[in-house]
Amino acid sequence: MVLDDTFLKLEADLRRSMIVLATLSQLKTAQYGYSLRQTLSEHGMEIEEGTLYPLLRRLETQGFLTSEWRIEDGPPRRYYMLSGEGRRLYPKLVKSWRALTGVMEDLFEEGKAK
Amino acid sequence: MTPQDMIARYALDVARRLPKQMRADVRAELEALLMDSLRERAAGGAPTEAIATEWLLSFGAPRDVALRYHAPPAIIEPADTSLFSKIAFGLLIALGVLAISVILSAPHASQSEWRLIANGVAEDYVRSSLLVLGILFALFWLLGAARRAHPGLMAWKPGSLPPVRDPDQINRLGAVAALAAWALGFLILMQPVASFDLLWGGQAPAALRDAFAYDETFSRARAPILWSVLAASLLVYAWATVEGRWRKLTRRIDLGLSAAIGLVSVWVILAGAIFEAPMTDQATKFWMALIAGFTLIDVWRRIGEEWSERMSPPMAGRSVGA
Repeated sequence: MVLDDTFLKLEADLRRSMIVLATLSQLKTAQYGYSLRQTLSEHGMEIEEGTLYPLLRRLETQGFLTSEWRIEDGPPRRYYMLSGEGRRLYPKLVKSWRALTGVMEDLFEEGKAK
Repeated sequence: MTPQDMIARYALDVARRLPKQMRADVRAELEALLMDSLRERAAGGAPTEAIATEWLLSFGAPRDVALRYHAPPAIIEPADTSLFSKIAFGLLIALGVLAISVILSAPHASQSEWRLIANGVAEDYVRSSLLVLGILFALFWLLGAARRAHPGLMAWKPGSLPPVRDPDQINRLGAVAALAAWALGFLILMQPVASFDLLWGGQAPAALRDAFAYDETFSRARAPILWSVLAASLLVYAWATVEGRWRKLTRRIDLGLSAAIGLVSVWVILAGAIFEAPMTDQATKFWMALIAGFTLIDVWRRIGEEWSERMSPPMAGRSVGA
């Protein structure tokens, strides 16, 4: 039971570090919070809505996203997409991510060998 | 309450905790997003209050969600919490010791008089504690605000690190000076009138001799015990000074003697007059109570240190052997 709880906490920590990158990856085209969550979920990246929606705001405040209210099929919704700065940031983060996963893979392999 | 009402109230409750400029926008966006999710949860049917309740509970308490949208700066920064608690606790204890010293040294004849004094001091204690805590809050808030406004100004530098000291090491020169001062003070305490006579080069003025004449019962019954523990403490300090450092044995004897000094002092204050002159008696009792209070607090702190030392691996430089 304790192990399960610890696993869930550690896994949540791992996911938290990926949420920004996962979010930026899907915002080359404009999306609103709910549709973005569904897109991410379809790819297997479950993110709590209570975490995702405030994150969009924070990324916008930091200048990586822009947003606007739109009325498409339904009530008015706030759509987010990458800003110029976000477009420059995203490939850099992807590069870092790939380098890190490479390092982690090496560590796992080395750990196995021992 | 309809599910729509519940969502509207929830969004409002989150928004009202945010800065004014983002409230309306977040409220509208959150309400729309929550309604989308609620419809999904109702799986094509009409959302019910039960579904809305369950959904909002899983989304999180409004205060937590608001904090994810906007984290305001803390009044006391987490890094300062420990320092703040230590200072606040220390000041409240110091005020407590001061209050008890005032009560113990106040001249009183009857039980009701004593109760009146104690009530007055208790009221003053509460008032001054609140004032001190308020000032401390304000200072820490200003400290945090200054750090945020000028991060470079208060940047941490390795040069400002406190030195690592061996707590058992004794600075012999300082210790000898302290011993000399302590011994002199002890002699004056034992024989105040004789000390004044010596200082005057003959006989000190009668008013001074009268003011510092010990009460006869005190001199006979209580003074020998007080002088004994003070002298023993002086000797242990001298012993540690000769050795150049505190050992476990000397540390513990000193701790026991400090506790004895504190307790004997309290007994002396409560047992009756120390000086014949009421004013000298009152002033002495006040200072004795103050010193006894701080001595006992120090004993408590040192017992905690001794205990944690027993529970933890030996610290670099600390003597663990007898």
